[in-house]
Amino acid sequence: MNIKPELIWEAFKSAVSYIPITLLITLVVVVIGLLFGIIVAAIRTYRVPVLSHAADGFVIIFKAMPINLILVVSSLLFVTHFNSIASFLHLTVTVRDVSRIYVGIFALSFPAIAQMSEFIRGSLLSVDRGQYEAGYTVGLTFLQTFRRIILPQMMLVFVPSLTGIVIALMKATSLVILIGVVDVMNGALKYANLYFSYFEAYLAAALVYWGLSLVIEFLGKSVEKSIGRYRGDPA
Amino acid sequence: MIEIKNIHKSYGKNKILNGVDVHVDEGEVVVILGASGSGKTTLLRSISFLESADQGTLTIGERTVELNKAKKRDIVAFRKKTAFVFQNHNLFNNRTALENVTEGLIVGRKMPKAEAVEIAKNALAKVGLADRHDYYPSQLSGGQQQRVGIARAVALSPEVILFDEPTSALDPELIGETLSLIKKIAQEGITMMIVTHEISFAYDVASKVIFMDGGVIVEEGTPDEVLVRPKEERTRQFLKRILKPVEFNI
Ligand SMILES: Nc1ncnc2c1ncn2[C@@H]1O[C@H](COP(=O)(O)OP(=O)(O)O)[C@@H](O)[C@H]1O
Ligand SMILES: [Mg+2]
Repeated sequence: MNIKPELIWEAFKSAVSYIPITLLITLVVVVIGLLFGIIVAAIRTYRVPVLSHAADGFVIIFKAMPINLILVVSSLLFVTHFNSIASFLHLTVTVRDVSRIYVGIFALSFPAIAQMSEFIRGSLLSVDRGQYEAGYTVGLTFLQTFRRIILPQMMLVFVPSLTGIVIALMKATSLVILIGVVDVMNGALKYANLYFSYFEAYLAAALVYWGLSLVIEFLGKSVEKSIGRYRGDPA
Repeated sequence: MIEIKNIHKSYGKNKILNGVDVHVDEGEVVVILGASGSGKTTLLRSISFLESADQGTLTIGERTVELNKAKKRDIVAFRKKTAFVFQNHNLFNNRTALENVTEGLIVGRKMPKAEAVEIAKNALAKVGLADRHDYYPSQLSGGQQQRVGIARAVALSPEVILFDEPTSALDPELIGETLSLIKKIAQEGITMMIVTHEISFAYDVASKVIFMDGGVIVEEGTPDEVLVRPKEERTRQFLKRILKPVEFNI
């Protein structure tokens, strides 16, 4: 095979210019996933009546569905139903006014919430019951115990998983091509059709994803280090 | 003064506590003995509201509460009158030795930080860990962790300290020093309820010994009465089992 470095470079430049889109989708989905994931995890861990069954169902359904399926179905529903929902809400926007990026964010949020809530729940359960009880017996309330004793310990378990989730989500955003959004992956492929330079394009995309992963990995490790002091060697 | 009256607790159909009464005067050290599963832990945990008893009243000092009707506010208030030393110490993993002791003082009791640190330093010195303030639990040995646990309880100056088998999880060579530490604290006149299997320690430290079996108190009295001249057959059997000299095959 004849690899053309200048085509890798072209694809690379194009991919890099779409990093903001990839990061935007990833970041917004991570934030939504965290916020709702915490709620879902709390409902399930502390077995809130009725809601906990709904939360269980939500997690089971969205963990089992391929992300590309969720994306395509969301997009179909969006195209077919958005106008009627908007007019029902007396909004003047139509399906043409809304960027598909939002559809991507919407669709990716469901599996993200399901995934996050599982990891949050796991981290919560990793903290021994004795830690709560010690808090209560020295006169702390549940909230005080949770905030000061439980949360810092669960974060230590959660942050490494979070790093993994963020990287997985960043890669999953490449599926937004299915609904017509251009991100790093599809940015790299932009000229591939023209020059039949698919290998160069994929190589360029891989380089960008590697770079982004390294940065996320590094950030995760720094956070881990700063919150995990108490597990270290003798002071 | 601590008074527990007619406490009952079941898990499903299993009756664990079946009408237990305990009276502890100020400065008294009550040792609770009994075979595994006799309900000793459940009794202590009910007193600190870690388990909710089905029935019974708890009086500490002037205040009385019905155990099964206690409101959140009562529970927090009563917990501030007690301290608990756990079998596996349950130190806060994310807090240094010093912070383990100050946590309850600063957050639970709203004490100014400087004062809390002062008290905590004294408490840690008392348990022989003056040089370990900034160590995290993971950096301390099991015996040291338990001593921090004891310092944490003592620093709260509660009306009673509840000990649940404080030496059962320790290596044999650490048991002695931990027991002498508890004895030293007991001699300062701190009220205690101690669950233990260490009979000679019980004999030395107790003002009253209670023997439990099957969720009730079978026998109680002075160490001499219960440990040396037990009246009840069940007590005798228990002591015989636990004191049987170990046979070595070398
Ligand atoms: N959370 C629980 N659920 C069900 N049974 C329990 C629970 N905690 C304790 N028990 C049972 O209660 C009995 C008494 O336990 P415990 O108070 O720990 O006894 P002891 O401390 O004297 O060994 C045991 O048979 C134990 O299995
Ligand atoms: Mg026990």
